[in-house]
Amino acid sequence: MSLNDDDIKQIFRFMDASDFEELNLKTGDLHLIVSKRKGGCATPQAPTGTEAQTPPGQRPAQAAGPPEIGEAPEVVKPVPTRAPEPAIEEGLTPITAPTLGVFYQSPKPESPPFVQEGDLVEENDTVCIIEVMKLFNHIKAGVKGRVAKICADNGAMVEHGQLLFLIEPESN
Amino acid sequence: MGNISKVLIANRGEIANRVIRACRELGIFTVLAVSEADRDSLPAQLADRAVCIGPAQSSASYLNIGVLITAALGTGADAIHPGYGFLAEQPQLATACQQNGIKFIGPSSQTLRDMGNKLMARQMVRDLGLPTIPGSQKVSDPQQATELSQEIGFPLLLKAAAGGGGRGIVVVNEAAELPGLLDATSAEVEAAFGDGTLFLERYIPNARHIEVQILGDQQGNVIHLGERDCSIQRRYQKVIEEAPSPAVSAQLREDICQAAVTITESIAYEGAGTVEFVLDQDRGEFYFLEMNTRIQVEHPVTEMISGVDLVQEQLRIASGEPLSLSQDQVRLTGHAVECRITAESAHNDFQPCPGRIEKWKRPPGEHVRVDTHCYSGYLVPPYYDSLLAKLITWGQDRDQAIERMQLALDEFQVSGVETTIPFLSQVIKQAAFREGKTNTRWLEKYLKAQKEQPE
Repeated sequence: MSLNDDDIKQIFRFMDASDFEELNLKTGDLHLIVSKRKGGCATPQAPTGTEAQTPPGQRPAQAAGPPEIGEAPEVVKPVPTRAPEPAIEEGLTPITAPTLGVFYQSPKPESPPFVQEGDLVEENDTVCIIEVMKLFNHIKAGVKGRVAKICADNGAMVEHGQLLFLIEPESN
Repeated sequence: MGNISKVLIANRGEIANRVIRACRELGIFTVLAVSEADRDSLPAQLADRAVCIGPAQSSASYLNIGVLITAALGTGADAIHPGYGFLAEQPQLATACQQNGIKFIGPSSQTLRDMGNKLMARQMVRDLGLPTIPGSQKVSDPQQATELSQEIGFPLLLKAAAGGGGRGIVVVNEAAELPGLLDATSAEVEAAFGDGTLFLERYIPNARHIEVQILGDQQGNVIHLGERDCSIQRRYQKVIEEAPSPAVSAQLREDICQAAVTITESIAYEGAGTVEFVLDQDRGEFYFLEMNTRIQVEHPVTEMISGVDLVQEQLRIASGEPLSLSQDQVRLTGHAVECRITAESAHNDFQPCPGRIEKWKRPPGEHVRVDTHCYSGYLVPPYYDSLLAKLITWGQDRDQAIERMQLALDEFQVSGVETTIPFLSQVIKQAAFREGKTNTRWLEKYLKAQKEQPE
C-alpha cells in the first residue's frame, strides 16, 4: 500500500476534525506521523507523556491568550468577506452555492422564477442557476420542503459556500 | 491610478500581502480571491474585500480561471494580479482577461506562450546572436538522442520542454543510460505537463544561477535593475538569494544585463520579468536559461539595493504609465540577502510540516525585512506550498548583509511548526558561503556531508 497526495490530505482533514492528537501510521517502508501536539511533527520519537496535555478537541494555539507586547501589531479590521449571514433558525436547512458565480432565480430574464418563498420543492427540483462564464449550473434543492427564505439577490455574484435559500424540510 | 482603480489578486500567502501593500500605497482598492482554507488569512483581513472562490484544493479555486474572471467582473475589478505560481504564467488567464475587458497585470498571452516554451525561447535567443547552453532541439528517438549526446558530452541533462521550477530534469551520466531514461522521463513528463517533449543540454558542474530583473512598459522602454545570484539551491529550488552576485565582475555584469535588455526589447515585453542565465564559473561564460514572465519570489533583494518598488512598477505599467525611472536613474547600493523560511523539517529530508503556529516573533532592527502572511495562532494549511516567510537583510557590503542575516535568523522565534530557520542559520555560517565560493550543487553536497557525518 502506498499513499498519494490526496490520501495524505484526507488524513490531515480527518485529523483536523478529530479529537485525536497524534496519528502514527506504518505501512511497508512508509512511516507517517501526524501530530497536533506542541512541537509539531518534529523527529519521530516515543511519546514521553510529560508534555503538557491539551484537552481533546482543542487546538493548543486556540487557547493562547492575548498577543504579547512586542508582537507584530494585530489587524483590527474584521474579515471583510461578504456581509454576515443571518443566523439559521432551528429546523431550517440551508442551500449554499457550490461555486462562486452569478445567481439567477429564473432560467431567462423574462421567465418566472424557479421557486418563490412559500413554494414546495422536491429534492431534484432546480431552485436557481449559478453562471460561471457562460456555464449555467442548475442548482438542485437537495432537500424536500418549503422555501422559507431566498437569501441572495437575483443577478448578484455569490461566493463559494454563500447561503442561497433556507428550506423548511417536510417529512414524508 | 490611471485606468486601474480596483485589482483582484488571484493568489495567497506572502505575495498576496505584498501586492495588497503596493496597491494601498497607490490608492488602488483590493479584492482578494480566497479559497475556503484561506478565508481568515492575514491577506484576507488586509484586503478591502475578500471573496471566496472555491474549496481548499487549488485546482477548484486558485487555478479556476472561470471563477476568477467571474469574481473580477462581479466585484468590479479592472485588473487581475496573478502573483507568482498558480496562474501567473498561464496564457489562458491572460486571454480570458482580455476577452472580458480585464487588464492582466503581466505580459501578453502571446509572450507568456512563447517564453513558456523553453525550446522556443532558446531558439529566439540564439536568433538574437546571444549565448544559450550547448544542447539540442527536441529529441524524438534514442538513435538521434545518442548522436546528439556525443556532440554535447556526458554528463548531460535531459529536460522537459514544458517543465519548470526544477521539475522534469534528469541527469544522464553515461551513454548507456540514455535510451532507458529517455523512455521513462518522456512518460513522466507527459503525465506531469501534458507534453512529453524532451531536449538535451550540457551539464555544467560548476555553475551559478544568475538572473537579471527587468522592467518594460507599454511605451517600449526597457530597463534592468541588476542581477541576483540564486545559486544556493536544493533540488533546483532556490533557498538563499542575494544581490549583487559575488561571482560577477563589472564587465560580466554589464554583458549579462545588456543581454537581458536585448532579449526583453526583442519581444516588446510589458511588465516585470526575470531573464535567467547560467554562469559557467570554469569557463567564465554565461548562457541564457529561460525567462520568467512574472514577479519572482526573490524580488525583494533587488528592491533593497535599488529602492524601486517592483510591484508598484507592475501596477504603473499595467495602467499604461511609463516606467518611473530611466536606466540612468537606477542606482544600486549595498548588498541584500534573502532566506526562504519554509515549514519543513530539515533533518527529516525536508518533509513539509503544516500545523498551527503557536509563537511567531519576527526579528527587529534596521535593514531587516520580513515578507510573510504568518502570525501567532495561524494554521499553516496542508494544501499549498510550505513558504512561511522571506527574511531579507541589507548591508553596505556583502559581509554586513550576511552578518545581519545571521543575527536576524537567530532572533526569529517560531514555535508550533518546524521551520528551516536553524538550517538556514547553519548554511550561512559556512566558510564557502561567506567567501562566495559556491555553485548550484554546493548546498546538496553540504547536505550530503551533514547526513554522513552527524554531529
